[in-house]
Amino acid sequence: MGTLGRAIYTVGFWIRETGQAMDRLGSRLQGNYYFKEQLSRHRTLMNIFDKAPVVDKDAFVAPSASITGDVQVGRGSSIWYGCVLRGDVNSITIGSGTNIQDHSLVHVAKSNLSGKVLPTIIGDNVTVGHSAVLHGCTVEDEAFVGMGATLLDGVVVEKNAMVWGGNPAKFLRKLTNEEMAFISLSATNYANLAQAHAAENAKPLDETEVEKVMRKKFARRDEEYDSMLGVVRETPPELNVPESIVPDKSPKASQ
Amino acid sequence: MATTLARLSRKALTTTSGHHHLLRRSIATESAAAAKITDSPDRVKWDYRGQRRVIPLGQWLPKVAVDAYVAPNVVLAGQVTVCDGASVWSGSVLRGDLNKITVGFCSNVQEKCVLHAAWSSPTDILVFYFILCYGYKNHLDVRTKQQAFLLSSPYLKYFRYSPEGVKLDNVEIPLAEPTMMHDFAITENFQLKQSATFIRISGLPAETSIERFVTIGAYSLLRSCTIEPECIIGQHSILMEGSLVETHSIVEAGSVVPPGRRIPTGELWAGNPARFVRTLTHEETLEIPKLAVAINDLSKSHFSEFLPYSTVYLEVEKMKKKLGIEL
Repeated sequence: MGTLGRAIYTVGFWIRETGQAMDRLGSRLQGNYYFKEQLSRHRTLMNIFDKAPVVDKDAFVAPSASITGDVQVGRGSSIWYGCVLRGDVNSITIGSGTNIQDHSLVHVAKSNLSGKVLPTIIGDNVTVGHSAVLHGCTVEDEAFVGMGATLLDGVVVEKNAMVWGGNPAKFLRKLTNEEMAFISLSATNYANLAQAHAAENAKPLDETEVEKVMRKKFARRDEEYDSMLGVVRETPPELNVPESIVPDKSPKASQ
Repeated sequence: MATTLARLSRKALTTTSGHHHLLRRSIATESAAAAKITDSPDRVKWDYRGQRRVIPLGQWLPKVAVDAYVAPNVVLAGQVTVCDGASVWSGSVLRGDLNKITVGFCSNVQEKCVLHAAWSSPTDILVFYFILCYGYKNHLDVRTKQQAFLLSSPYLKYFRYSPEGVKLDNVEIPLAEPTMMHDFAITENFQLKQSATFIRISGLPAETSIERFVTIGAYSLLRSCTIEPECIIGQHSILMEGSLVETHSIVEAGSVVPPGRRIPTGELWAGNPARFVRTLTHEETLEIPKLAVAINDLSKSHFSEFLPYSTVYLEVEKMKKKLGIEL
């Protein structure tokens, strides 16, 4: 390394200090409108005094989800981005293999018009679609709650039963066998997907930085351009999508 | 003194939680008794980085254009491309883990939307057992050598194509006066039957693609849909798999577009399920890209609030110094 290396290192430090000093000067100039970025204080699992969430170690909880209070999440379940599971006044129990998709809200109320306060119980292998709102309801095993659905207090969703829709919900039709099979398949697919997301989100800073550098190296190799030339390039194994995401079944049903 | 205090408080806390557990056990539901949840001691309860905005999955890296505004609490995962001038506002989740998501030029995805793409689109949507066609009688006008509508009865007829593609006979509809027929839609009181012979409609692409100048209102859910240039999707709307919104159309707030529904050009649809309301006037059609450009301007002012690189590293260094972790 020697003196030259040392000198360059010191110059680097001077430049960084200069940059920070300029940053301070700029903030002074901004005066009252100066913003200061804080570390994210968002806690994924938060307990309310003695009610702590119990989440299985195989469950995927997205970092932007909030699980507070008395919540139990079983094996292989997944709570996706932006969900809020608030077990503050009563308990929420989520079985194994269930997925609560992005942005859903699972909650229980303290006061209810009829006076009862029900815990929310979600069974095994349930699929709760995006942005659903579940409030004090019971969802049995292998049921399916669609995107954007709102389930209020005391609702019981049974398995393999019927399709309801509309506002207020009306009976539409019964489930076909194909749809029942699809529902159980979708829960497994989501569990696999959750593993991929869990692995990605759990990476520490060093790993993500290394991957960023690796991607930059491969960035100039555009896939479409390569395929036009007839060149097949190998992506390093670390940058490959895990096999488990690809559904085994032939693409007959979506999701 | 402090240790006795600590011991007392610890005892107090453990007894309350012990009672709590006993109480819960006695009114245990089936699920609580059956499932044994093994908690992991090193589950991260708080990560100082918060939720990362861009989540690469395997070799898929979400690409954001340099002048696109993506709010800091948005989650882009998998194959997502946010084009120039587009904006993705707070709290949205664009999950391209199964298929591609593209947000086109100058489009905006507003607050708290969820965009997802299915692995493959359902290819066996049954639409018609027969294809029903409505027609008018027309003839060649001898004088002007042009097709003209013959305004004599029967004013309207319908015929069907069988599943094998054979045109069946015309059936005339007895009407008193000349009538125009517009697009008809299956709304209620109809049932889609499954039978041995049916016409397969080739599946729409399973990826979610939002073309240029589209405004997606807040809190909507889009799944595997295609939105052609210059549309407005209202707030809290739900567009399900395989739906297609053609150019210059507006989907009102709160509407639910069922799977495979096509919303034709230049029309206003609303409701759950989405139904035709009226066609749009030319002035309204011109307003649509203007709205997208206005939101683009707004996003620029939000974009300028953020420095190109975050200054949180200063906080991290302070924290590390305080905790004695080496920098």
